[in-house]
Amino acid sequence: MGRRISQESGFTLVEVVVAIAIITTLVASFGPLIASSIRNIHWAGSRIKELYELRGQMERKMATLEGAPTTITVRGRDDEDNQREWVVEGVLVALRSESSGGIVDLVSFVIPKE
Amino acid sequence: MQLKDERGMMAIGVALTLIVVLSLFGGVLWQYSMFELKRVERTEEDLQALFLARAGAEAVMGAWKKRKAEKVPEQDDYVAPVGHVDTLYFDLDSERDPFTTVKPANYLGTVDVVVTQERVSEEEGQDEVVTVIEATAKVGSTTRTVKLVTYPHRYGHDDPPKWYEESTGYIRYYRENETSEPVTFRLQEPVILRAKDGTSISFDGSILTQMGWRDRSFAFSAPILVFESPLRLVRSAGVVEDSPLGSFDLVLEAEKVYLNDLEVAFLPQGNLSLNLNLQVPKDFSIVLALPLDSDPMAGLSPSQVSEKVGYDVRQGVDEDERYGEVYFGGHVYWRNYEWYRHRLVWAKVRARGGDNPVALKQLDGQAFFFKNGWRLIPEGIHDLGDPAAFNVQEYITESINQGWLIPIPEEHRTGLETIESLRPFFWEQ
Repeated sequence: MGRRISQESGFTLVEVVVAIAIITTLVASFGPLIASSIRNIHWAGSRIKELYELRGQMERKMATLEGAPTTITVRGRDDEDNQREWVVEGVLVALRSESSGGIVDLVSFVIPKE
Repeated sequence: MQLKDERGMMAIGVALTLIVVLSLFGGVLWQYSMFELKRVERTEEDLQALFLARAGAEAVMGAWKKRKAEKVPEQDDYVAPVGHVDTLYFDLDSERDPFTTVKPANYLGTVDVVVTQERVSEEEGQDEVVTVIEATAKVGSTTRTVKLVTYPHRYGHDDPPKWYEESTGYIRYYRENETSEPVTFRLQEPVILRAKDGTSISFDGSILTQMGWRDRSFAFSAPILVFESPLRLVRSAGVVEDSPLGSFDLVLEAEKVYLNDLEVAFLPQGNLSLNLNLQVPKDFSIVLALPLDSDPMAGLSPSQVSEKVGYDVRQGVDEDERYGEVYFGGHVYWRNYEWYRHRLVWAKVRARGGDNPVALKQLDGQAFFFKNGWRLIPEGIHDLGDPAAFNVQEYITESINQGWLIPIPEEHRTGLETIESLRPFFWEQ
C-alpha cells in the first residue's frame, strides 16, 4: 500500500514562491522607509541635544559680551505721543551652527552693564 | 483540478498579515520621524526667536536707560519709549547694524516690542509705576515672547539683598553684601541699628584681640545707595552701653551715596573706675568708599574730578585715588554719649547723654566728591581719650581743605530724578 503524499501538510511550491514574492516586495517597499525613519529619529534626538548646547554657548557669549559693537535704532513714541528715535549702543552676539542638518544662526543684542 | 486542501493558503495569509503589520509599523514610524523633524525645526526657530526677542527687549531697555531721544536737539529732555515700538528686523545680508526697522529682502525674523507702564500701590498714598517691556519675536512660524520688568525700587530689605530687617532696621550680617544694582533704604524705623549679636560679647582682653575691633564693621556695596530714611547709627544710650567695644564702621561702598539726615555717635573712654569696659571708647561712624573690589574703575578718576571742579580746588585732588559722590540731604549730627555711675548701684556704670548733638552744618544739604575711604569719625580719636580735645567741626573743615571732601559744583550734581533710569530690569520669562 503506497503513501498518500497529498495528505501531508505543508506549502506547495507555488505558495512558497508567491509568499516570498510578496514579502520581498514588502521589504523592498517598506524597508527604506523604516530605515530612513529610524535615521531621522536618531538624528532629531542628537540635534535637539546639540541645540541645547548651542543655547548654553550663546548664553555664555552674551554674558561675556563676545561679539561686535553695533547700534540699534529704536523708533517709537514717547509718553506724550511724539515720534522719537533712540540710538542704542551694544554688542551684537552671533553664533552659527553648521551640521549635517543644516545651518542655524543665533543672533542677539546685549547692552554692556554700566 | 480542485484545491480541496486550503491549509496551504495560510502562507499567503501570513504574508498578507505581514503586509498589514509592516505597513502599520512603517507608517507610525514614518509619522513619528516626521514629528521629530518638525520638533527640531520648531526648536531651532524657537531658539532663534528667543534670542531675537531678547535683543529687542534689550534694545528698548537701552532706550529706557538712556532716555535721551536723538534727532530732537531742541528737546533734550529725558523721554523713554512707551507703547508699540516699530518692528525690528534682523537683516541677514547686512554686515553692520543688521537690526533695522526697514523691512529687508532677506531677514531672519521680526521683533515687536510693547512698553507698558502699570501703576501699583505698594503703600497707601504712594503711587508706584512698574515698567514692562514685552518683546515678541517671530522666526518662520514660531513666535516667542520675553518680558522685562522694572520695579520702582530695589529696597535694602528686599530679598535679595536683605541687608536689614524692614520692621526693626536691624542690620543683617549676611555675607552677600554686594549688589550690582542701585539700592534704596526705606525703613519703618528711621534708624539703622547695629546688630544685636554684639551685645552678648563680654569684655575680655583675649577675645577682643582675637576678634579685632574692626570686625564689628559692616559694608553695603552697590553702585548707588539711596537713603530715603534717616540714617542713625545708634538709637539710644542703652544701645551704646550694650554694644561691643571699639569702632563700628558702616562702610557705604558706592559711586553715589544719597543721605537724608545722618547721625553718627561717639562714646569716649571712661575714667570712672578700673572697669575694663570703660578703657576702650566706642564710635559709630560711616565710611565712604568705592566698590573697587567689584569694579576697579568705579567712581571718578582724579582727572575727571579736576575737570568738574574750579581751578583753585584742583590742587587738592589726589592723583592716586578715585572719587565718589555723596549728597548730604537734611542734617548731619554728631551725637556724644558719656559714662556715668549709677546712683543706686554704685558699681554700675551706664551710658547717657546724646541729648545735644553737634550739628555739622558744613555738610548739611551739601554735595561732595569724596576720596575713597573717608571716615566721618577719624580713627585717631581713640588716642585722644578726652572728647573735649577733639573738635569735629574742625575735622570736617580739615577734610574739605585736605581734599577728602571736594564740593561738587551745582551744574555737576546728579539729582535723584536723573538716576531713575538706572532702576534695574528683571527678566520674566
